[in-house]
Order: sequence, then structure tokens, then C-alpha cells
Amino acid sequence: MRIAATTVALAFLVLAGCAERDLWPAQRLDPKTAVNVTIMAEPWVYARSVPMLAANARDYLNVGVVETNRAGVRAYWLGVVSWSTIDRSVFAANGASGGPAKVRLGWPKSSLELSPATGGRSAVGLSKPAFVEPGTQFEESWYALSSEQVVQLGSGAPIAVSLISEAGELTTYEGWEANPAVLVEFLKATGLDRT
Amino acid sequence: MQVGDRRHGINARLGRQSKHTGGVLGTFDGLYLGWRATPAVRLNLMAGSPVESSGDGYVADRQFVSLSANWSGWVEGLEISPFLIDQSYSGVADRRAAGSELRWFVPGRTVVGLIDYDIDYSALNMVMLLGTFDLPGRWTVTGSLDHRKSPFLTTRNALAGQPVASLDDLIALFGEGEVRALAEDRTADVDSVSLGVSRPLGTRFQLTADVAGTRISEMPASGGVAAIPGTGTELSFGAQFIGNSLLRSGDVSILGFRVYDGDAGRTASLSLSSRFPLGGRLRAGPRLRFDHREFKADGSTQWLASPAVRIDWHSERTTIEFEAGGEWMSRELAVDNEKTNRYWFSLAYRVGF
Repeated sequence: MRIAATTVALAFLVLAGCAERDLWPAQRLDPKTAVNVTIMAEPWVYARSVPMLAANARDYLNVGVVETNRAGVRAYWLGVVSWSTIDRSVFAANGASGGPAKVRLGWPKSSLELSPATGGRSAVGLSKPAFVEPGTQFEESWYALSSEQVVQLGSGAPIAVSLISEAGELTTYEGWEANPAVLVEFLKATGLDRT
Repeated sequence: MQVGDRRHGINARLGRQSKHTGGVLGTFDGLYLGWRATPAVRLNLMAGSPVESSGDGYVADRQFVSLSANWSGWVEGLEISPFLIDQSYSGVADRRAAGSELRWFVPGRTVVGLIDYDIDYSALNMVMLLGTFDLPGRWTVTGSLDHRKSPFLTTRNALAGQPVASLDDLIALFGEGEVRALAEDRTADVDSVSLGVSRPLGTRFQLTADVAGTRISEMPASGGVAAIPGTGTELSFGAQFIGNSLLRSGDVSILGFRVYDGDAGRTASLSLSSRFPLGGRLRAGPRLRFDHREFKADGSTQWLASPAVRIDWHSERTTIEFEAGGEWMSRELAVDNEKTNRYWFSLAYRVGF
């Protein structure tokens, strides 16, 4: 009886370890840019319903943090990937969107507004997209973060993320699947939890 | 023709138009006049002749006048629209009804209601309540209660199955009182109730399930027209698993299962359908359906398989649709087996204006 209980407890601990390990960020050397990157294990997902266009489909933003290490010089980046499950193929194209002029991360009592990095993902040093599933059509923008801003993100996922156009129009996405633990693990992996 | 005066909150529209408010039942030739009397109250007047089919010309023998109001501001998101309508056919009262619409929209909650009572016939033409509510855990529950006359009770319904085409001729045959009784006999009561739930699963999937019940009353024999039996209560249960953007951005795939159970028999249906953007404004939609039917009348069973594909192209106003498919059916009777194969295709061109 005692052996069975111990076995179950060990199995539980192993499984719990696996679950924790799933949130550990991916760390690798980018083969094309030779930059060491640490990528948040899974993005925070924000969603925006467009009931006039679709009942069951939505526009999404995947938001995640990346650390780059170029010969010991560390930098932090916020990736914001815009994608959708709404079929807009029957509507006239509105022309190239050009990406947002700014992104605003919102918490109940504060917000953080960032301007996109010139050069996008190339400026980060990633040769492949991050925070997006293969085969998905998407648009991405990247924002430089200070280590203090990354630590601020670690205190809790934003409740909403807004893309701000050149004309100042806000398109706001509400939290859909935003697990704060993934950034806690990211902070541990990058050592920012000790700052 | 449409004119408006924003300063005084007045707008008017003259000509063929379509309305499903104020007790009006669709397309009519006539006048709509609206006046925003206060920020919370809009008054509407509609008058004209109902149009049976959009290809018909102006017909003056049926005329109506409708008065209605849209009243909002009492409760946030609530609009109540009471109405009165008087419709005549060849000088005989066709439909005289009072009622109200109700719409309540707030984030996470929607309620739409309608009551339509015919004063002349002392009959409830329609009462309907539809609600959608967001629940914790991203569940959404939708329910509806619906009682209605089908078709809507009008004196004109008396013409159904009769050898004459005008109400004047029918009144000459039966007299007005009898014609009004015939109109009631040609009008069924339809009751339906439904309850459904849905929940997104992750970012790309959605699960929905619903139960529904429908009952259609019998229509008795009268005026030389045979009786039409009622349906009894037909129940259906269905569930759908919906996937979005699985193979291409914007695609939709639906796996559905539904069971119908009624007086005639029981049908279980399994279906898989998809719609894929092919590029530009071209979309393709393959679908496959399997049905198993049990007929209560003779105890026979039937299998049906039906694959089909639909390809459509849309522009702002134009749609071109091509559909082709087949249906293989096998019915096991007591003494024999019956097999039927059907194939079809259609090509349609639609212009909206």
C-alpha cells in the first residue's frame, strides 16, 4: 500500500516537473544570425471578436518576450504577432496595413506604450518567426524592452493590448489565454528574477 | 426616393422597400415616414401595399397603415417598439394587430422579443423570446421560445386551396364570416423551443450543442379543402465541433451530429463540411453527409450518403456559385431493398442591389 502511494506521488512529481518544464523558455543559437536567443515558452494570446464578420472566429494577438545575447550584450524584445481565424477573402483589400505605430499594454492601473523597432524581426536577430504556429498568415512587430519593463511584465500579464495606428485609432484585444507563469519562467531563465 | 432632414430628425422613403418592424411583414410599395420626436423616442408611419414577390408590379387591392414608436433610454441597452397595424384586402379587414418588439443589448447579454396580437381574430399571431447570455468559463447559452401562426393570420389565408383567386370571389361563394373561419382553418399554430450552449476551445475550435422541439398543429378540413395533419412534437439534438484556420487562414471546418425524432421517424445525421479560401475572392466548400433514417410507418430503414462541393466567387455586389454533388440512398423494406442514386449540379449568378 505504501509502495503504491509512493509510486503515485513520484509519478505526480514527475508529471508536475514536466508541466513546469513546458513553461521553460526555448534557448538556442539562431543558425543564420548567430545570436543566442531565449524565447518565452508560449505567447500570451489576446483576442478581439468581430461579430459583424464572424460568430465563431476572432482576430488574435500573440504577445511574447525574447532575450537576445550578442557576444554578451543582452537585449529584450516584445514580439506582437497579429493573426486571425476570420475569412476576409471576400472583402476588398484595404491596402497594406503598414503595421501599428505603437502598441499599448494595459493593466488595471497602468499602461506601457512602445514604438516598434525599425527593421522588425531582423533587428531582433531572429531568422524565423516566433510566437506563431506554422502555416498561419500573420503580421508581426517587435518592440525593444528594458530589463525593468520585462520585470514589470513578470508581475502580471496585461489585461488588454491595443494596437495604435498612425492616426491614433486604437484596436484593442482582450486577454484570451495569458498564463503569467510563462514569463515567471522566462525571468528565471534569463536571471531577471534576481534583479 | 429617400429624403431626410437631420435638423428636425425626419426622414422619408417612397417606393418599394422592405421592413420587418411595426407589424409590417416584408416588402411593400408605399411610404415610410420617421420622426425622432425626442432623443429617446422615434415615431414611424408606414403605409402602402404589401408585395407578394419582388417580380410583381404594384397591386392596390391590399393596403395597410402601420404606426409604431421606438422608445429607448429607460434601461441601458433596451429599446421597446410598440405598434398598431391595420391591413385591408378588397375592403375587408385582412389583419388588424397590436404588438410590440423588444430589443435589449448589453455586453454579454442579448434579448429580443416580439408579441403580435390580432385584434379582429382575437388570436395571438406571434410571441417570441430569444436570449443569448455569456456565462463564466466562456460558455454562451442561447434559448428561444416561439409560438406563431403559420402563415401569419390574415383573411387572405382563406384563399389557400380554393379554386378562386380573389377574396371578392371567395366572399361571394361563402360570405365574409365563413371566409374568416376558413382563414383560421388554413392557419397552423407552430410552437418551438430551443436551448443551445457553445464554448470556444483554445483559439481555433468551438463546441456547440443544442436541443430543440417543434410542434405544428393540424389544419382541419373545411370549405372543400382537405385537412392537413399536425406533426406532433419533433425533437432534435445536435452538436457541432467547429475548427477555424486549420489548413489555411480563414478556413472553417464543421463536424456535426444531429438526431431528429418525430412522428414520421428518427434520423441520425453525421456531416463534415469545410470552406476554404482559395485566393482572391474564390472559395471552395466540400461537404459530406451520412444519414440513417428509421420510418415508423413501415419499420423500414434507410441509409443515405451525400458528398457535394460548392465553389463560389464574390465581389461587392456579385456572387457566382457552382455546386455539384451526389446522393446514394439505400432503403431496406420488409420485402425488398430500394436503391436510389441522384446527381446534381447548379450554377448561379446573383447580383445584389
